[in-house]
Amino acid sequence: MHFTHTWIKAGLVALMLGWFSQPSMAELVVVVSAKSPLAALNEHQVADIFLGRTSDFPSGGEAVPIDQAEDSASRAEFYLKTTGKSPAQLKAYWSKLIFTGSGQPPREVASTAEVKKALNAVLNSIGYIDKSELDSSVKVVLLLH
Amino acid sequence: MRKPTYTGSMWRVVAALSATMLGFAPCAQADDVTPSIFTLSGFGTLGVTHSSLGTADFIGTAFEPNGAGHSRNYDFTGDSKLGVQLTGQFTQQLSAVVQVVSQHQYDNSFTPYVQWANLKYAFTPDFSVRVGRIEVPTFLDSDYRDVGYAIPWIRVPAELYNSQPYANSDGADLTYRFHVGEAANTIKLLYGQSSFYVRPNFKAQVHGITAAFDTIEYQAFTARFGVLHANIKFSILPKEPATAYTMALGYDPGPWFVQAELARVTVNQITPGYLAGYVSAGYRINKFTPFISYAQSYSLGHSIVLPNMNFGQKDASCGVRWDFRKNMDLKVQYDHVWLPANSTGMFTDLQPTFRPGSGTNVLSVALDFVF
Repeated sequence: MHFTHTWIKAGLVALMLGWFSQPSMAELVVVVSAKSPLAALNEHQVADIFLGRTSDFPSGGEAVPIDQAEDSASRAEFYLKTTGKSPAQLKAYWSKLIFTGSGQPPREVASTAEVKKALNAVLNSIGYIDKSELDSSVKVVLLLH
Repeated sequence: MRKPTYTGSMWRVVAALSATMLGFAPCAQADDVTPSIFTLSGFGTLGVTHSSLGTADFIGTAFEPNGAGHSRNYDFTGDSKLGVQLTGQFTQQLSAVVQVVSQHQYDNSFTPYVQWANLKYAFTPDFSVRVGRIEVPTFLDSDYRDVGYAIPWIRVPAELYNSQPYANSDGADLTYRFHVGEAANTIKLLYGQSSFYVRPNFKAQVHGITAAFDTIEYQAFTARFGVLHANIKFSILPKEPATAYTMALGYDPGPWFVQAELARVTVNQITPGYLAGYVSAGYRINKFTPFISYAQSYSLGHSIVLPNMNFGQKDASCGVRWDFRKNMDLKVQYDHVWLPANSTGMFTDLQPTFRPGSGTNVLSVALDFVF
């Protein structure tokens, strides 16, 4: 009995460590061009756009998602908060679509500056950046806690 | 007792896999400064399987002539494979895909074959038509069953997936997606023809494949319903109707997942007909995803004209996936497979000492990668 309890406790501690050791960073914001008419989105709507499940904004008009670099901390945190998926899970998700020829992941750019540039180059683009990098060229449609 | 040797072609596969991983993996990070029309991707698995039953072979896909057990103590052929895909995005509407796969086949070779080769025209992002060689997505994971990295297990549950042995069709399909509130509903209609070899010199022609699938995705939920009809001609036998009714449910909120499928698959006069399905669940702890599954095929007992003693099979399995580095995973899986009293199940290379109704314990290790 005593041994059993010790093992259960050890197991629970291991699970909790697993749970809480997910990366936790600064606040992220989902942004569009300051000139975009878009007002606000919720997490599920943003997740559907970035997972390729919808090609339009809920209010209409084609949505063009822009990803940060594959190994960036912002990208990992963005997907964890909106879709619940880790980078590996996300890669597995896209592998399903890529190897059946039914989809390609969002276009990827190298930096936050590049995200802002992309949003203003194509008005219906949508991206995510660190809150500290907000400026007047973009506007927030969702704050990710 | 003949023990097929695999040294020659197996080493070629190992060499190809190694070259792929060393050569391509480090530059998988695409240079996005100049987006190219063409994208090269690939996937592969290097796997080894041991089965405790010595009187028959345990195999991964439907018509492999040999595998783990009688033929080989440690079998590298069942799960190892390599696939390479080239896509071309010519305009916003027009794209093409060609995918070539090498895996263990009916003729005991790893001869590469063209799995898909089609042209896609997207009238809108939600409405597209494809012409050429197209996947037949009979079951939830059918169209990427060979991409080990995309599935939670080492291989898809054979009890369900091997009941429909052809994966592609030469013809056309149409995909239309619409939204009901926040749920995405995707309808796919497919028409075409296909063929497959049961063994060398025994080919089956599949005519008039007509299928409809509906996939509903809402947040972490996925539900899928399908119906497929075709006429199969086995050598001199008359054409026989083949029908599949399928349903699948999945829930994957991130930290854990559960997935289940159920199908009724019949091929008149050729198989006794099956009711088959599985349920699987996994829990993600950082880079580790332990999982458990139960799969079963149940014979409907229809009359048959060909000798076919597969009257069902059961498989209880558990394992763990370890995402040990980017674009790669390592899996270990244990399967306990057992058969109804009169059934040979999906075993092959049956020896005179094989007893219908027996079973086996299978231990497999696989390394999956994508690039």
